[in-house]
Amino acid sequence: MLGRIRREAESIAVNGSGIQGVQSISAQYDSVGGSPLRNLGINEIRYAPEGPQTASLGLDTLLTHTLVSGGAGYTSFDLMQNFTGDVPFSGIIDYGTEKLYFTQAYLETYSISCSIGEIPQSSTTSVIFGDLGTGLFDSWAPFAQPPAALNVTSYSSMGVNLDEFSTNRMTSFSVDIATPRVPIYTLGLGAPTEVIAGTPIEVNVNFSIDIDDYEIKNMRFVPEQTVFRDTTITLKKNNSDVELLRYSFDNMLLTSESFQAGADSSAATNFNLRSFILR
Amino acid sequence: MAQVFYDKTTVQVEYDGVSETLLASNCTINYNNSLQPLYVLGNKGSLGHVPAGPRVGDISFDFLTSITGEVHGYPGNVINYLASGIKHSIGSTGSGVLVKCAGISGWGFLNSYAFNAQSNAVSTSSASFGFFGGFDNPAGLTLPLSGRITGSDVEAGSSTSTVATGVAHGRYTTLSSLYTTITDTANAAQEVGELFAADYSISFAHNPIYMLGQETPLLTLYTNATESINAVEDVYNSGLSYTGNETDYPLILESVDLNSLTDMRVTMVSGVQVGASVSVGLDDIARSQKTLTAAY
Amino acid sequence: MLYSASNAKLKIDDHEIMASTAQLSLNASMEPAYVAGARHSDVFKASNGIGGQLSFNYYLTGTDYFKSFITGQGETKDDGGEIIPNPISGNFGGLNFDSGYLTSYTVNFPPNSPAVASASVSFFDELKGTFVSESVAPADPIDVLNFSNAVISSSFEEDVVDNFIEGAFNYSSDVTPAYLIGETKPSRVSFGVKSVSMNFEVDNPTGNLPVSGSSAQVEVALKRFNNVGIPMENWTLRSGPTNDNYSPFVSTSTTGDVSATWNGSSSSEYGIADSTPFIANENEIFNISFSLNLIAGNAPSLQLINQVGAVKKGWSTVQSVSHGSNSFNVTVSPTSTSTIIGTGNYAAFQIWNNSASQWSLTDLNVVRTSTQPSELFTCSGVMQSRNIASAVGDYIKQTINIKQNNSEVKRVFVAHYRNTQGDEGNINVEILA
Repeated sequence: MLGRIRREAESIAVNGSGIQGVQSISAQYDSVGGSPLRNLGINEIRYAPEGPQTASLGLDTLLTHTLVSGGAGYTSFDLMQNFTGDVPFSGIIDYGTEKLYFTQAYLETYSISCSIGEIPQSSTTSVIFGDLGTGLFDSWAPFAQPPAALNVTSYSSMGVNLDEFSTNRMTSFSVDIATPRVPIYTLGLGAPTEVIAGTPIEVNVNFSIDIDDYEIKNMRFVPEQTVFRDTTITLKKNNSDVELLRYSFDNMLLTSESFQAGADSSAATNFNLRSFILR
Repeated sequence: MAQVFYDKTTVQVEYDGVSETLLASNCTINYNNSLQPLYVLGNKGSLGHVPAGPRVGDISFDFLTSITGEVHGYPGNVINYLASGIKHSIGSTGSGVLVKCAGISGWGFLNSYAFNAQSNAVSTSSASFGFFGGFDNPAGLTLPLSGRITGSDVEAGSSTSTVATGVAHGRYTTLSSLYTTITDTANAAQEVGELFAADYSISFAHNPIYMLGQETPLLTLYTNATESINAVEDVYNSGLSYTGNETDYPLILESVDLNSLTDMRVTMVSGVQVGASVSVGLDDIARSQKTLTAAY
Repeated sequence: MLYSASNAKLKIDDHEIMASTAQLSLNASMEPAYVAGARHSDVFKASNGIGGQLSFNYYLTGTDYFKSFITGQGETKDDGGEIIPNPISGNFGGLNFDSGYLTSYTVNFPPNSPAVASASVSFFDELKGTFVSESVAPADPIDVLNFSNAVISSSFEEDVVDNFIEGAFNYSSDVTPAYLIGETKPSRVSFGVKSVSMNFEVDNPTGNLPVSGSSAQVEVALKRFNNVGIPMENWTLRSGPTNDNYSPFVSTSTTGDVSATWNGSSSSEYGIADSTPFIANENEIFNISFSLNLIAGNAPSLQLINQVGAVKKGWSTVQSVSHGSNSFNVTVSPTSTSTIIGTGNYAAFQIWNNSASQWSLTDLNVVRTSTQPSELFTCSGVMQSRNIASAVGDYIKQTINIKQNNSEVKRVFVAHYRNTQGDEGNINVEILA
């Protein structure tokens, strides 16, 4: 009989830790040996790999899961944020009775976003430079049970330190962190001998606000009136002062602003702050 | 007249009883005379064109580095066999090789041969021949080039799709003889380079001797060959020798499935390092390149 | 004012020379005149006559007019035993001289190259005339002889030479002016030592060079290329009441098409047309092909004849032409023993009828299939020197030098005749050597 695998039978663990609040998982590879070799007078189809073989991993979660404080040397309570540096991760995706293993995954983008009335979400994309497949590649720590207690944070338990938000209502925000990777390939090996974390790291923070007295800047403000801001976003546990996550960026440059007004909506503004972090 | 599509054209090389079809990805044939305009005093304009030299041709093509062929017991492709044979030959008179493509053929002399090796990539080679004409046997060719564009039905290969095991690939090709090693004996420390890519090339000097009374050469002399290897690594040896340390560098090209029975070998004999450079750019590591050269 | 090189022709004895370079130089011999007691002088006096030289390089297109001066100057004597100087006149854009003497002539023989000769002419007076710039329309293309089509014949007493790689022919002659008192321009010149030599790069290196000398003869024959098409244009109706009996006669095409209708009244009235002339050397072979539409009457006849001169002589056998496609190989060969064809002279095809005929000829194609030498360079003498050189990366080169041992010109005369009728008498006619 043809069966189905639904969310109850799907899960992902990274470096031995299961992840809660998963909204979607995607893992994909395109074979680099998918095109045949061609030559003058071609008389048969022959395949050979052209270029390094990699895979991509996408993971969207609710920010409901946090690590145990000080666990495994991590610096952030959000598991995936710990991989914005130069450390890879491995993992297992369970589906039904099958397991999909992957090794040497490197985070490429990390973003969190939140709107009014929603639980903040985290979205990551990673490149897998090692292996991806259902074969057993290495010995694995057993899948760890997720913590029993969920730490839910919501829009109402969020703090942002920008002055504008005292008189202008923030409706949504997003933080995007891009971590470039430079894989180094040598003759005689398929996987890279090293994956270098590129520098600088680019951070974009975007805010949407219903404006009251917000002033759109003059677009020709560079260089005399260039705007640099320090931004801190704090996420607390719901109905509590327990701080779960803090995102703090200094000297962010205002890079764009937009203004929208409509007959059936309030006047709103989007503005983007960008900064670069040297490793 | 029908156009000829690429699947009906092949590059074939015949030498010493061996005929091999190469896996060429492109082929260019040139044929030139040396007509010069004639200007004389007191006359405006040219009084026609006069030949100031012989007709010569050349052919150049890129091809996949095939390694499963055997020429007189040597694994590899016929171009590699030719290059090794010419560079080690003690005779001076070139005997020529028949090269055909798309119905056009000529009896030529190998001018250059090169191949590359990169990680995770199929190895590609290139070769060029010069045509001077003057041969009567066995092909009956007296002019440098002859023929017209014609296609030919290619002999059918395997009907099933296969992995290209007969082509050299960077997956298992290590070229470990090229690794740069720098040693700090005082501290018993050593750094061995990781090789990212390597290029090999060899060029031959052929000298056609022309005589009065005929356009084609009397004979063609082979004079010398120059061989060169460029290796890209992450270790830089600034101790470049002033007098040179002659070393043999064997290169072994493997296929994509590491079958030790199918590999192609080329050895640079008494090679010396003549150059060392480093370059670094944005979003990349510092890479070093060393140049080795040998003369025959 | 500056002039372009295309505005001035170089002519020698009124023959236009196809020169690529030319250089005229004039030198006066002015010496300062010092007198006793004076440290300085501002007076110059002539110490010798004017010395001039014309040097030029030119392309060989056939029989070299200029080469004839090697044997034609300072060799022949008049009836009184005096040397006939046979001076050369030169003209460059209007600047001219009339008493020049060939002092050097060189032709290099590199393989696969056009034949270029270098010559120097000395003269002993200033240039007369005025430079006049001349603009002419572009001339027709010319054929330059090429050494890829040369034939080398040789005979060596001791050496074995299989192949000639390259070489040169050299001629030089001393010419000294002789001034009488009161002359600034010499009334006569004296011819000194003349030297003719050839040197060649050959194969088969050897060290033979006997002190007693080793004889060697080499001849380099330059030929036009085989299988070259001859451009054929209009046919010309020959003039005169016994020749022009074609009417209508139409030949206006630039491709050699012609049509004719014989309108004579008796067999002594010919209709003859001559083709575009071309150079034909004796024993060369031409292939002529065309389509003939014989509308009525008898087909015409075809023959190769001399183009220059009113008296036409047969230079090939007569070809019978038929309706439809025609193709003949015509050998240039005199049809009577009194006809001399030689080299470098113009020939033409004549086509004729002397009876009722109406025809048209199209698709005319003339190809010189087998050439004979247009110019010869010979040297018969002794091996003067041998040079063997070897350099890395090159072949071993052996260069030999042959010096002509006798450059004296012999003149041959017919002195006495006797014919078949038994008549005889004395004549004094010089014939070509």
